Amino acid sequence: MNRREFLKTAAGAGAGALALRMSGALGAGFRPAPVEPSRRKLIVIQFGGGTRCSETIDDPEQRYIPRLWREMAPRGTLFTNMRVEHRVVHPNSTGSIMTGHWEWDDLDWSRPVAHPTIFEIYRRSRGAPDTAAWAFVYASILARTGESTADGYGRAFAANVVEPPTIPRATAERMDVLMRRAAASGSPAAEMEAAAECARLARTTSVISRRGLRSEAGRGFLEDEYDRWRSGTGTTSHDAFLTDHAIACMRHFAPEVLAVDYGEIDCAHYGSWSRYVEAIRRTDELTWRIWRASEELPAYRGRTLLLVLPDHGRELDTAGGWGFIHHSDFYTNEGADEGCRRVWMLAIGPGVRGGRKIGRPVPITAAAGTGLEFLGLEASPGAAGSVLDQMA
Amino acid sequence: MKEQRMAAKTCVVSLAAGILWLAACEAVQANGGPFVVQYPGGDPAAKGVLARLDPGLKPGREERLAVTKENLTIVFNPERFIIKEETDRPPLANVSAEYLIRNPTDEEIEMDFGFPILRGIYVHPHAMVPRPDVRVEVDGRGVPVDIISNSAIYGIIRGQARAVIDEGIASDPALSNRVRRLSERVATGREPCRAELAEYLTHTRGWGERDAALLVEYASLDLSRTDLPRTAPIWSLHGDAEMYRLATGNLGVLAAIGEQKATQFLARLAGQFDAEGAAGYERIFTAWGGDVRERSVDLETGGVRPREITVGSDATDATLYARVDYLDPNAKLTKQERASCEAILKNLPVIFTFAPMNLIHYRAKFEPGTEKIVRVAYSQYAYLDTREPRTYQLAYVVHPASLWKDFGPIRLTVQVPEAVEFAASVPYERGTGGAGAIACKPGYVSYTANLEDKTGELFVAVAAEDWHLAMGAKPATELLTRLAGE
Repeated sequence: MNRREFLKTAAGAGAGALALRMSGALGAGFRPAPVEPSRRKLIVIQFGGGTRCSETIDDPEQRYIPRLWREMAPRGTLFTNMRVEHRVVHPNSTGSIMTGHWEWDDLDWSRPVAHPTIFEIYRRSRGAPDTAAWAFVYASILARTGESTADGYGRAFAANVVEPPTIPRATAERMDVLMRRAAASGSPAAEMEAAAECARLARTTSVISRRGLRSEAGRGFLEDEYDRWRSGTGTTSHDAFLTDHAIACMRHFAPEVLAVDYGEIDCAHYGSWSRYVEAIRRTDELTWRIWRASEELPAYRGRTLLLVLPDHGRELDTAGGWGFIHHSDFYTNEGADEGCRRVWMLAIGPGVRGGRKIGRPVPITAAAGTGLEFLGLEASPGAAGSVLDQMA
Repeated sequence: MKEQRMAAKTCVVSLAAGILWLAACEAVQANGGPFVVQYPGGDPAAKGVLARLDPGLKPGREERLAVTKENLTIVFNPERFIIKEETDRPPLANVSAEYLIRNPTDEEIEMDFGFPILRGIYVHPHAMVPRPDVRVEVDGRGVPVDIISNSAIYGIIRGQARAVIDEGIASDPALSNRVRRLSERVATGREPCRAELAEYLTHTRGWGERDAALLVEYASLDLSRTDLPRTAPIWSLHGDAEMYRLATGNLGVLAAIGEQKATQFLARLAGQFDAEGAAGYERIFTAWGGDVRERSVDLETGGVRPREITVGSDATDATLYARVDYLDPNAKLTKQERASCEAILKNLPVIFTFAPMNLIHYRAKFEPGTEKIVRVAYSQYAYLDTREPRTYQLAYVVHPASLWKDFGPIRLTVQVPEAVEFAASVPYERGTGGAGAIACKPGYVSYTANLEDKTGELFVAVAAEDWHLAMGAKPATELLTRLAGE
């Protein structure tokens, strides 16, 4: 293929996959032909669980985000100063990203968010069925980010929401006993056997919520996927669960609006630096898998805007402080420092300039308006403005 | 086949990582559930401490007795009761803390001592009744040791919290009347009483809506029920009726949400009446120096840094991830009780509950003007740090020494096999004999140090490969080559 043929192909519908294969050859400024707004799709990935810039984009070697930094960032625009302006806690950030407004200042996450979500706005505007909007969220505290209490919206236009399975407390206690006994033996082999047994218990005794599914089609999809997971033997990672099922959903329903909200990075609360950075590394890999799927699946290729952003950061390392372990007291905002408030957003998609970095402050709430503008729609009145024009 | 062997090797590597029962995280809704992560390996959390145990289960400041000196001896030993031959076992660290304690007063002083153990404490594999390997001697004679389990700690907190709550209610006649009216309405007419109580708490007493909702449920529930299954106590409750009573008391219907949330519920309410007097589990954990940060001493630099622990790839991930439903779906609850439990879970604030802690309790008597030797000995497995060169580590909490008005020098002696590289987080010297009560073992070498700064934690480490070679393992390169089938 000569250069002319290559550029011609790259500007067409198949640009994504080809550009992926030729990654590095295109460089900055990659702009495929725009697709009709009504045929576009939006994927929002919450690089979640609280991730500091110091372990991601500010790390000189980007050790924990190799996929994102080396393969994805050159293809997109990176906003390096996204701001978390209200409470630094996962559901609030997630809800705010989905609506464009700062949500849940009252911390009552059992209620839907107050403003129309990207899912509802899309479905109502386009008359789309429930299977056009999906949210894969890491815990039930995010389950109400798929619907709002706003007038004219609500369950009738809500996203299908998938949460990972949960286990009964009795199982958790049984797992504790097994792991404790194995640890007391001092035998690595015994501990591995116990871990395997616990993983089996975690699968076989698990239950999964169906409350977030809006139709028989959605419920049927989840039943099949969950059965497969229960009979599997791989990792019990919930973020991996979300990824597998989000990709399956992309293949099955090809939703127009998809959110994948990761959370296992939040294991940092337990004090292990290794687990924290390992979770970032895994999230990097899982994010990359979603992106690859969006590049490879015909329903998404060349017509999808992918927004990747952490929900919030974590505290800076200071003498006497908790550092990476916590992300402020969100009841009082004590400890909500720059480590908590500054995150980033990577945007990849048709019309988005590659390799660009934008350092001006942008609230994380801008994600909603940006995604909706790409779809040819508008966020609700008062929502943070779109930054789509800055990516071109 | 080679790939399978490599996967198996990765598995072995992942196995060599530590256990942590990361017990809870964010659970705000009934089904929010804690985020649980467990993984195999050694536990960095078990750390020795000597302090007076106050009635609130926290370490108390001691101003009458004086610790003249402490000899701290740590010996890295092989496990003696290995049933199956394994070459990758961690060292079993035998820790002996010997305190010379003086009573300079003219009064006899009998004191309760507390000694927290978290994870990783050694349990003899052939014991009839599995108990942690902890021994206490006063002037060479063993003294009885109570093990206050995590469940018993929770139970004690609940008991104390209920006393504070009930006293607080009784001290306010208007509140007391409203609580009584609600609790007397068993089936009908409850809603107005609930609303009236909530209104009084928020408007007259200035409580937040969530805390008011919690007290409404407290007044609505029967905590005397005993027919619900309780959290299963672990090793430390065997045969101890008093501990069992403590561990299972003040639960009633709350057994359906588990001891942890039940305890948080009562401690939270007690805090509304007496902010200082009420002690939640997390405060006790912190007071004993509980710090969830996993740290290690670096073998090469001697500096303290975050522990590194590799647990394998996604393909061989031995880590367990789960979210737990607090509310027992099988609990035999009335519709009303279930609604109350759900309301409690919804209105409890998010807390970060750290590792389960058990307290060793013993009592010693000090006659006027006397000096006695109190010796606490325990064993625990060293925990692995996977930064190359790999190490086995042990942590010891020094901070409680600051709780004593007089606490003399701490003399540290660590014995490790010759040819095993050693590091400590304090300056040390290599010698041939120990200053403590335990003579240096044949084939071992001693490292000694004087601890001047009695804050924070002490870390000691040995090189993992040296250790395995000293225990008769083949060199790692040979082992890895064999595993890889090359």
